[in-house]
Amino acid sequence: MTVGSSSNGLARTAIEVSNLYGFLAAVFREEVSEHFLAQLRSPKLRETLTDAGIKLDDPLLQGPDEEVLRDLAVEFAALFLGPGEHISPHESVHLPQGGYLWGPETVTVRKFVNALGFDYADEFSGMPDHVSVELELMAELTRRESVAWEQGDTDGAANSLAYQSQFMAEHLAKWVPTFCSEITKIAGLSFYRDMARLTMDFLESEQTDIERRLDIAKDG
Amino acid sequence: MLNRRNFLKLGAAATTTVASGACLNVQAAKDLPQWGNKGFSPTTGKSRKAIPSACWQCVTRCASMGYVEDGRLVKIESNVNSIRTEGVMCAKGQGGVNHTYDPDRILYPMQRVGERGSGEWKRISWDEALDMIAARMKKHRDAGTPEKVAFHYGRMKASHSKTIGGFFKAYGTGSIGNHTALCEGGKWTSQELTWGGHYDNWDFDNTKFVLNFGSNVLETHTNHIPTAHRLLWAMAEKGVEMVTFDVRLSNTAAKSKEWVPVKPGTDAAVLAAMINVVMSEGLYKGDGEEFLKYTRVTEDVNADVPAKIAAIKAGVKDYTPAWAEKLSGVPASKITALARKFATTKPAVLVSYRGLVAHYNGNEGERLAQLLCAVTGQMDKPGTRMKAVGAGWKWPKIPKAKKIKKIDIFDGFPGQVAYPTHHVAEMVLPMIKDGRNGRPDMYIEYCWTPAYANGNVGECIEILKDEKLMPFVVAVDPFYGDSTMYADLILPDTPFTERWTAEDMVDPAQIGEFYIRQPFTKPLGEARDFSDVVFDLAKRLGVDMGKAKSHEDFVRMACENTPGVKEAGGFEYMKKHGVWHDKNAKPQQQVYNRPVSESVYKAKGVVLDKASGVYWKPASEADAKKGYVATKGAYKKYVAQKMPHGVFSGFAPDKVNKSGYLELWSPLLKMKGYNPFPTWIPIPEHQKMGPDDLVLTTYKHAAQTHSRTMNCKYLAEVYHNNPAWINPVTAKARGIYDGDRIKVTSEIGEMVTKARVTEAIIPGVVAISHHCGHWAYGRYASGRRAPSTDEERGDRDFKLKWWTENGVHPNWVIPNSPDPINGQQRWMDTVVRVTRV
Amino acid sequence: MTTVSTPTMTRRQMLKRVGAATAGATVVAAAPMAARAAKHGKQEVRYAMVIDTRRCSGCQACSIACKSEFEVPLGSVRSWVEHVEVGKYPNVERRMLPRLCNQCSEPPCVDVCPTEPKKATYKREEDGIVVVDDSLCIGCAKCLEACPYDARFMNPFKGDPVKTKGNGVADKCDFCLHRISQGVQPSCVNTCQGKARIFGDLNDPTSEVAKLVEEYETTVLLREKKTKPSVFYIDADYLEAKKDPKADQYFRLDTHRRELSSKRWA
Repeated sequence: MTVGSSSNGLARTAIEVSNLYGFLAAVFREEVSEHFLAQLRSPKLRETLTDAGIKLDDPLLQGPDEEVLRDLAVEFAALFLGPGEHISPHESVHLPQGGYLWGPETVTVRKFVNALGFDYADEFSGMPDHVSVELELMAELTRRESVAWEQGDTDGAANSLAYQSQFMAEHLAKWVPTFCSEITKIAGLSFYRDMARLTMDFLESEQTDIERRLDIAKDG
Repeated sequence: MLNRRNFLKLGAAATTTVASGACLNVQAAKDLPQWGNKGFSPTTGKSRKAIPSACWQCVTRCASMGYVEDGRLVKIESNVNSIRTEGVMCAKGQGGVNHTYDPDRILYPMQRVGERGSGEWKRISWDEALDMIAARMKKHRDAGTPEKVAFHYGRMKASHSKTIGGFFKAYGTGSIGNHTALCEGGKWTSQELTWGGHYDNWDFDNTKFVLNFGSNVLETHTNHIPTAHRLLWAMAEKGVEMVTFDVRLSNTAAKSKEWVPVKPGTDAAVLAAMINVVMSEGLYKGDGEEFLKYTRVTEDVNADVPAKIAAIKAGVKDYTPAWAEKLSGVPASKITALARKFATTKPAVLVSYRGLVAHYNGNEGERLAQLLCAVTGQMDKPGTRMKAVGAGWKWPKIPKAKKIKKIDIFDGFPGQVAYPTHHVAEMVLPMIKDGRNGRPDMYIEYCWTPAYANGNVGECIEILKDEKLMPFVVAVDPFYGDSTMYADLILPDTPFTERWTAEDMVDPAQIGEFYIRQPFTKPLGEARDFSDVVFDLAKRLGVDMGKAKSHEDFVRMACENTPGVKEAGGFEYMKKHGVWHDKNAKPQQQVYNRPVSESVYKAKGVVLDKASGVYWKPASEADAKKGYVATKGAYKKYVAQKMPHGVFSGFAPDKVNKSGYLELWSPLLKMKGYNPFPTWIPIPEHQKMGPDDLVLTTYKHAAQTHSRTMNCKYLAEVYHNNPAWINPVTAKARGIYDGDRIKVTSEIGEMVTKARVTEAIIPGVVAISHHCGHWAYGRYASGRRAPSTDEERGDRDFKLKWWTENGVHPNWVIPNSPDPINGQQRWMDTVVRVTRV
Repeated sequence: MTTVSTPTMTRRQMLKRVGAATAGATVVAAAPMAARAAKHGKQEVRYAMVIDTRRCSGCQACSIACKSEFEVPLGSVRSWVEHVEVGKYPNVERRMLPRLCNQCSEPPCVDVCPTEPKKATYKREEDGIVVVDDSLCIGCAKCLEACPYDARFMNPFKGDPVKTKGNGVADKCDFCLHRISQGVQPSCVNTCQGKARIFGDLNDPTSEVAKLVEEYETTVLLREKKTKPSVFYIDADYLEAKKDPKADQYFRLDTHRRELSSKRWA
């Protein structure tokens, strides 16, 4: 990740962070689509992923579309949907005080999302605390941070970073690492193992980087 | 998935905390006038949104009140305004709150990818799923083979039955199965053969004595809480005594004045002997004689009462108490004393259920029960067993297809069951395997778990897995159940907490309560109520579903159309209150002795069938010639019954061509080679038992239903394991001590479980409950969940699950075997050997 | 489920077990007036429960109602039912004993609570209900040991994790204070099909509980502990008064409580 301290550098960092959040949100949101597979196979994304330490395996890159998509879809169901034993992609199932769908944390996430001016899309059928919602919220907050840096609005950047910090501490950091490590344990395809590791590493680095950027923003 | 709503709200404070640890400052309320219908958060004290609805944990379907906080369902209680429950609720009802947020819910339509049963699935859209089903249905309709589409349900009642059942009939398939024979079908058929209606209510509000043959009414009855609470109140407040015959000390037996242990399958002999006592001691005089006017006990439909008494005496003369003692182990003196007590305590109610009827001789057991009620006059009047009353909704019409075809696999093998009026669920898979009557191309299971609910689990699973026998299986289920795992396509159904229904279950007050189920919350994920899904399927297939456009719409129309409900305020009233009954209505009783006027029974087209004494309206000359009993569906043309003392409304037939008498001399049974008069029939397998053999009997626990509640964690915590009950004498003879691992072997297989050596069961029997031993149906039922890497975090309650045993399902060793008269699965007859492992 | 079968147990051992497990060993009927005598000083209201075991079918609706009302973690209970099987076939009985915190007038749990200046667990002056202030509780669990009725448990999901050193706080039945304060019956009461649990103000002579305590010879659990419970039982004295169990008599206790399985009977 680019570590910059100039306004421009910070803006660039933030947009990159935003993009990565967005990418991961897409990974966990639904099965890999034809379009997404094409993107994964594009030299640009492959290169970036390689930079991040992820080397997509040959079957994924070269296998027949239909077969690859089918295998990924079956894996996605086995990991995140069931039926039967699976790793729920919802926060409330993972928290120490939770263990079931739509817990009190789900309501908390929904309220946070709503308070920041967002609503859930009608076609979205997961719970409000779905992992990809949480990642997408962070993508949106970092995008706003980036815009603020670009405009030299340090207050705006600080504001956005404060929400990132809060949401990271109160939600993502509390359960996504566990969620990801469970994926690495049972995933059959390297793709979801890699994505889980990437998510863990990324969130860990972001936890410190958010605070660094926040300090800069506060100092004006 | 996030829409930008209002960019400028960025600055708004995120309200993310609820009150934490604050000690509530609450004032003591002097009076507690309110029984319920209000809810408050225990942490914040905030008032919760109360939504009247109805339970669906068991078929009793009590009116309920759900409490919602921040869009979450947090609690289910009784609706205090219900005249059926009078504001109380059972453990299962309270535990229903666990369904909605069960982490093992199925939230999306899933299509099988790997081998059937391999557990490999992929998500598909609802459109894809419905297109797939519609294509098959269309293919068969076009080919003139709609019967190849089979629909098999476990529980589907009231408006759900009307819409879902209506859809399949409108499409043109009559290949529709149910599960009743596994539950109580035998009791129903036996009642239909005698007094017409299939369901009896026990009037505990007005009774003075309860004689119970094999009903665990306080724990698990099919109209559980509405009857059970009345019984408990009667016992506590009026000192009403109950005597319970059972092989096992159920909680019902434990609360009885007396538990009378009886050898399995011999309750019928005890009943026969009681009738013998009543007849030989003249205890029929008075009320019994009066009632016998409306009872048929001989071939001669014009027999007078003395002739009837003579016929009954002759029929039961060999059934002496001493004879019954030898068979049942119940002392003759006790049989005599209880017969006298039942005959002379007015009014007294005779209660009977699966302990009596889930046997080879169950049909006769229930007919003997009806006969005992008849000769004592303890029938269809306050304080006795009465014909049940439910709500009569005026349903919107869904037109049936012009021609409905069916595959004949729902009523047992040819000649296997004489009167399968509620089908023979346990033989459906064996008949599919056999194939002689054809096989469905598509088998849709709805609230039905054939692998778990039938006997012979091993064979059922083999059949379900065999793609040659069952080409395409669709499971409609909110949870990944023990059978769902063998499906090709899963449609995620809603649990009852997210549904609409207009409900109608029996009201023990004999008035009839109208009530509705409404969703507490929106369906999670992409789950959809199947009664909505059929409207979509109908659209795809061009099937006419009448005026309603959705199930909610159908319920609304029922509320707006039904007299009484309509005037009270219709749908809006029902949504607000949940329940309605006619406050001016009097309890319904004694309709059989209503005289029928000449203008009715001498109307045009009505003729007298001399053999049965039935006035009916035959469809043709040929039918009239064939006669009432022999004409198919003649019962639908019943008008009245001629008796020596007049023409009466009688006990009208409902499903079979019985006369308008309480029919205890049955030409229908005679036609099938059975004794027309209620008879003791020994159980063939029990006649051949060796000295080491035991009888395996089954039962249910108050906190669970048969198949569909073990996923509820609170209920599983209370009841999750089912060691086999065995008397110390029986155990000792086999070297078995409490907690030992034992092997239970029947003719079809063996199972290993643990022994619970208890004084609370008759020797010679081993009792294993249902409910347990799931191999799927979520983490609490099966004990399995996805591996977790972090033992300290996540899934709080599963980690706190302190029990490690989930029990063993007895159906692995119980064969599928129907009562030859009515098709009831014989849960209580299996002969087994039990050895220490 | 806990099951115990002890055909060789002595009568003394048996009673001890019954006492420990059901806390029902002491069965000398409490005189009605003794119960009423608890009215003292300015305490206007004394909330109490009468449990009429004749009306209990052991169905566990109260246990589940309580569990869902408070989202009580698995393995812990605020309210539960014990089933006791005694006798010899065919003269065998099963009796039910619904249980909950006794809301003692002299609560030993309060005595041992170490927090200063205000005790985390205390008896409410205004109505006699013994409560826990989650914000004050330090999670020392002394009150669990002090309670002779086994009515308390540690709830790890409540309280301040730092203050309680991760132990959570002591938790137990509070007669559904959040409901009764709003004029609604406790959850275990309004679900009970037999109406075996009757709740009200013992100091109000017109209340049903006061009338029942007046009318019946009620018992309290472990009377010799002098805790003066506010939970009274009708017809629960069968364990000793109605029975004269022989030394080798069959006895079995069933409950779904984890505590009883692991602590008492392991």
